[in-house]
Amino acid sequence: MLSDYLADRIRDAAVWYNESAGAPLTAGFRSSALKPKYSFFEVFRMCKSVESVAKYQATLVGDVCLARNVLIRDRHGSNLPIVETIGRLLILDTFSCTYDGLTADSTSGFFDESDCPPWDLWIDYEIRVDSSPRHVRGLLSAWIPQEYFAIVEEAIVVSGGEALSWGSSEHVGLDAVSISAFVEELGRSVFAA
Amino acid sequence: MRWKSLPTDARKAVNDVMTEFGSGPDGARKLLEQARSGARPRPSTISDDTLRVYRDFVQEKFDELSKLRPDKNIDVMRDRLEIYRLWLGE
Repeated sequence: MLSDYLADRIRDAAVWYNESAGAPLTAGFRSSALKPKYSFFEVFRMCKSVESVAKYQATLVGDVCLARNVLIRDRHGSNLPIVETIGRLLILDTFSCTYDGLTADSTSGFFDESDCPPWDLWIDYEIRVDSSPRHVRGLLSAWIPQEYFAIVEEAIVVSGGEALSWGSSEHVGLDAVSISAFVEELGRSVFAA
Repeated sequence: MRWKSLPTDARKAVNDVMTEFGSGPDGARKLLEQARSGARPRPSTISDDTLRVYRDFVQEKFDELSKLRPDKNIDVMRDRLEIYRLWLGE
């Protein structure tokens, strides 16, 4: 079943991306207007327990997505622009990151030291707890525009395949039907990971 | 066992130690210097098995990247492997 808020966030990310097009890579997609209070790495270092890390990171993602939505609605009111950008969802399993900085180096800063994609493109952060063996999983999802598929592919190779993975196998557009398929695919991928 | 299969607490404990002096190459270099001088001994709260899982993951990634991206600077991984060689004595 389609989660409305996820579809809205994918749309918001696509609208924001369209309106940021042409910005330099290092500045684009990390808008100062949406900048989270802390980076994922700072949260990782600050919090002692994995539960605290996951909750704090989830809050950051929620705040960014809300701020993006508010700003888009301030600009456009209820007449949101129609975007036809093609994209895929990327999943970062945050506790599988090793903070070696290789993806940041390989992608000219598209990813940061935590293998984190730019916050302009964040969609969701899901916390999953499995009991045996004890696992807390913090899954960040981000919407990746077609122009950056190759960069993400490189990051997946460099990350060693443990932290980063595509959350959807198809390249789909952002019409209502395909968003639904997109999100369902994301759900399957997260369950299977 | 794979890195991703370790309990999350164990992965956080390893990452806490490995980023004690920061993330990326600079953090790894400083930690290696500390390990070499004996100022940062092997962490006593992390089991040998957990350390080996991490070491094996880094080694695997190092070997893969050496083949796939031979021009890439992977000193950070070389430094981390050296840290584990010192700590595990292997």
